[in-house]
Amino acid sequence: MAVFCRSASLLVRQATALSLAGARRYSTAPYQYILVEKKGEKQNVGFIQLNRPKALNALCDGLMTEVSQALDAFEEDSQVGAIVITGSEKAFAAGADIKEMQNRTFQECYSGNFLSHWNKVSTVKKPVIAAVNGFALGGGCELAMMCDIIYAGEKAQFGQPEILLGTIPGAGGTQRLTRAVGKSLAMEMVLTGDRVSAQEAKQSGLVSKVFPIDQLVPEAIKCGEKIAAHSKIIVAMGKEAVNAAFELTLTEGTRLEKRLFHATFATNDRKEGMTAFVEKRKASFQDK
Amino acid sequence: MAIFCRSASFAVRQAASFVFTGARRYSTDAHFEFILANKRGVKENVSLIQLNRPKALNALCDGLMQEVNQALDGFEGDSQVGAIVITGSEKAFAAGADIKEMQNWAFPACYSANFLSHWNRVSSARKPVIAAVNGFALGGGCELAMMCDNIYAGEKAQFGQPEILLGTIPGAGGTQRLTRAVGKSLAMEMVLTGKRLSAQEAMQAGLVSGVFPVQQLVPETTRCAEKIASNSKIITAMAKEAINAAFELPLVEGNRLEKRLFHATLATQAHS
Repeated sequence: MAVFCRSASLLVRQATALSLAGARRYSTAPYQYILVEKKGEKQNVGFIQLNRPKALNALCDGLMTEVSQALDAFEEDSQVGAIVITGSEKAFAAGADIKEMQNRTFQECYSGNFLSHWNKVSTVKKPVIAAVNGFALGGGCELAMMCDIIYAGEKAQFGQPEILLGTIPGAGGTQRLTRAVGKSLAMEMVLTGDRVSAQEAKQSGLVSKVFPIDQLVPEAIKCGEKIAAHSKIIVAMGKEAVNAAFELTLTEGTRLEKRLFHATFATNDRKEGMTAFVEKRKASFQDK
Repeated sequence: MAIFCRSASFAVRQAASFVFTGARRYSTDAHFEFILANKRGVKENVSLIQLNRPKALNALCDGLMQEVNQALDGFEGDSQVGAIVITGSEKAFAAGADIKEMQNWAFPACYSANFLSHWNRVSSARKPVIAAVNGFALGGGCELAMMCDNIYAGEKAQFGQPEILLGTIPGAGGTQRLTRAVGKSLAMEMVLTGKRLSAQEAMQAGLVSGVFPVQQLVPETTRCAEKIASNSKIITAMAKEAINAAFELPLVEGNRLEKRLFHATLATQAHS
């Protein structure tokens, strides 16, 4: 098990902007439900592995809180350019923890805004890649869909089977699935609980690549490294623009994109990137 | 090189509602520097705009886009033309925007001049515009293709938004239209890594609706345009408006607009 240990002084030296709470997240006791480390040749890919094997990584509140903490830490780490989230070979996450929510009442859910902090992944500014092997069902499918890119292992299965438990998706499943795969397939999945295979998920646009099981995580990390090689500030703007496609009309979305595009001309990295292209040399980005 | 010539009086006779500036574009300087523009099809009711900067792989410079706009204006005002095809060479539809041209721009100039604002003329055309993409459609080239209503690809076509490699992001609709066409995961992958799609992948992902052998691309696209041009122009314009509204309005309002347009078709002679 990879225990994430760093001395506090090394941390303070590494990133002066790192908040004290963030420093504590790195240096305290290991996480209980997840494994966290940095991967890639340049250690610039944050890596979060869900680690509740007995529960097939069922998403309990504690696990989601730890994922949020790990994400916060990676967001603040200036070395990290992209983040990969994965599960085990058998299951990315087989759902939410049903025992945990079995006896909740409506009043508790509403007042506590149940599941509101589960969409932390969708607010992260750095790109997040879901590497899905095995089951991504219910909350697990929703967690994957909150990520920016989904890579699937050959035996992955995606589904929203909440209906079989007498409830509906509550963390974006009905919204993101429908936008990804279209109405007919989304309705079929949400109303019958039927699953789709990795190949079907690729064909319907839900995931962008399928890999052999043992190559999935290395390939996801490679994708993270490709992204991390670019200017972080420009990458964040690219991600913001793509996500705006789900919030704005086409006209307003293109306006936002244009303003962000203009804004890239206020960065050093844009000038360096275009100059390097014209001079036929490799660009050297400073994240400025 | 095809020079687009029409006498001013002929143009005025053809379309009474013809805008005068449109007529002038036909009859005066029809010699374009960066594009070729002419009419095709058995009935000459399809117009073809061919990007023609071979040494630059049709990189989109400001002058080229101005000429595309002028040609579009002319064809929009030509009552004989029912559909428009835009294509490049066999090697490249358009390999990007002209980087040398924008290398030294700074933010204040971009914002004040509303840099790239006139590049989306294609998306405001009322007649159907079909992109016939052979070879590279990258960056601005991909964005130009996506502004069109329909994309046909040649077998060796490649689509991509590699702006991130240059330290910038798409600025002419790439992040918006690509995401709507191929979904979030693939769009994020393309925009954040610069990855390209082959013609077959583009077809599978929903970005293009047909793939043809390289030599057959332009003839097949022209045939598609002729099919479109054989229908009522006013009804075609209404159908195109309705489909585009799907990207601007929620479903209920989009249906309302469609219904109003549908009702309006009964005010035309086309349906009887």
